Amino acid sequence: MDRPVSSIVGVAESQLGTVTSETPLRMMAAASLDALDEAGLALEDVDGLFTAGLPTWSPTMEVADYLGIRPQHVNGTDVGGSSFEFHVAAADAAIAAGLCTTALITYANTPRQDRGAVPLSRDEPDYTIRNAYERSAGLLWPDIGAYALAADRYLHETTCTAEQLAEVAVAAREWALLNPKAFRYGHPLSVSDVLSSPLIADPLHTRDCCLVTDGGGAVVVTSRDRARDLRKEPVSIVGYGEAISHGNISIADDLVLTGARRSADAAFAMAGLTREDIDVAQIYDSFTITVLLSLENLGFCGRGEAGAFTEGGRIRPGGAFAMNTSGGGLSYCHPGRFGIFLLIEAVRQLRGECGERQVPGAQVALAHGTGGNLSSSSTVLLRKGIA
Amino acid sequence: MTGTRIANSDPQAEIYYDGLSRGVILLQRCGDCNRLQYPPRLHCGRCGGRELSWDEVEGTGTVYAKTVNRRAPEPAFEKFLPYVVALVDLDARVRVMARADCPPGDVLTAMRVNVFPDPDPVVGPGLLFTPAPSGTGGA
Repeated sequence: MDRPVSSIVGVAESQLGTVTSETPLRMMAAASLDALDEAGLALEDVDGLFTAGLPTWSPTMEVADYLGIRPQHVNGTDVGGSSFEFHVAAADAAIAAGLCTTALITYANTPRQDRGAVPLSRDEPDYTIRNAYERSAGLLWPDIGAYALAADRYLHETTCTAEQLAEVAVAAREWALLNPKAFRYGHPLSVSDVLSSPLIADPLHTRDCCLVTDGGGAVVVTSRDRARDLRKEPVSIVGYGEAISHGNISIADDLVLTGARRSADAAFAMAGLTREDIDVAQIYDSFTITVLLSLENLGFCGRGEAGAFTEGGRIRPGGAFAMNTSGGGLSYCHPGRFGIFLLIEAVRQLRGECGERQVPGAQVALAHGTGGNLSSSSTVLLRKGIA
Repeated sequence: MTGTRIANSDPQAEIYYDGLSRGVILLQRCGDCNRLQYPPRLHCGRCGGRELSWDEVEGTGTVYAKTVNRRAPEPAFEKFLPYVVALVDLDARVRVMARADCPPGDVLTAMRVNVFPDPDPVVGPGLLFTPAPSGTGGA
């Protein structure tokens, strides 16, 4: 196949943070219109729709109705926060297969606005593995307990310290101080702040955990030929790979060897790139441990080395490894599923639009999503321009 | 569990639950690959084998990973806070999830533990564990 097949030509966020008097559907529409506008496209150009996470029986059809589009292809893959990296892969494949020509990927949710008003869903049937076998143990849910188990195992197997875990949150905050859209903009954070924040699920403190904000986003993908003529410089989708290692944490074979190994190897092989080619990385940071495990499993450092890898300011602004330049899910926003924002920031970095936090001369970006209970991994590699 | 279980009652879950209510851990062993599995399923999740038998499994094992919950996932667990939840590798070579029936400080990763059916389940049948008495084998 003649790759790359497709490019990202438009990205946008909706309102972020503490959003009132907005619904996820309105926020998806706002982000979608903005993303199409910057590409010079319109809703009528969208013939593929990709979304996940709207709490309704068919998110793709509900969103299509609200937008007012009649897509010929939809994909509602929902594997948690990484769903949108899966959507990029599926959109590229769908465009290659002729199933659609212009794909809109969108997501929004308002967990901050809803907190206390909308209870956590307990309406799964009794026969799911989680309800039938895990729920009785009382693991903190959603997700935090699973990641805490992984963090505990990682700290047991390696020489990594709680301070090194905390450094991930501190570096994210340093980047957020350069991003006026970040929820924690203007609020510095130190390692001791992280370690003195309340424990939620040991060894994870409050500040080891992502934010709970409102927000949404949209990403427009179209064919390479069509991308040439649009308003924004295209960003080519040059490689991707996916892996599901488990869904429920009691099914995981190993809590420190994640699906990122498989997804990254596939993505780099498709792109013909190496780890050294990456100028800027957006790595899902649901929790500080998620980043350390991803750094190792993506192949940026050896097994057990991620804690030391983050030392000396390496992942802070100005460091040798530019990562999570928006401030990430830890300090920028995290409306339930963060993966779409990894893509938005990666594209803006490659376009050179990031102002104070811009990584100079960034040509190749990695966006890596991790969803569920450390369950779903998807690695997307992007290159500036029509590759 | 969540209300009365009428629809979609799972025959294998019932066998497992019935075992727990009698104080024993019953898990499936695959007739093809001979491995135990948790949770119970129609088939062997490792090899696809359909010939499964039920083994009464010893509760001795080792903590693979643990966490101390400082918040409860639902109100029924609030009375236990703070409490440990762990993945335990049983000596029978199968991993289970269980809640500690002891103070959080008593649980260390890789320590030897005994897993047993919860005699007083709060949201449905499940497993508890306590540190193994000293002298019953090191980690």
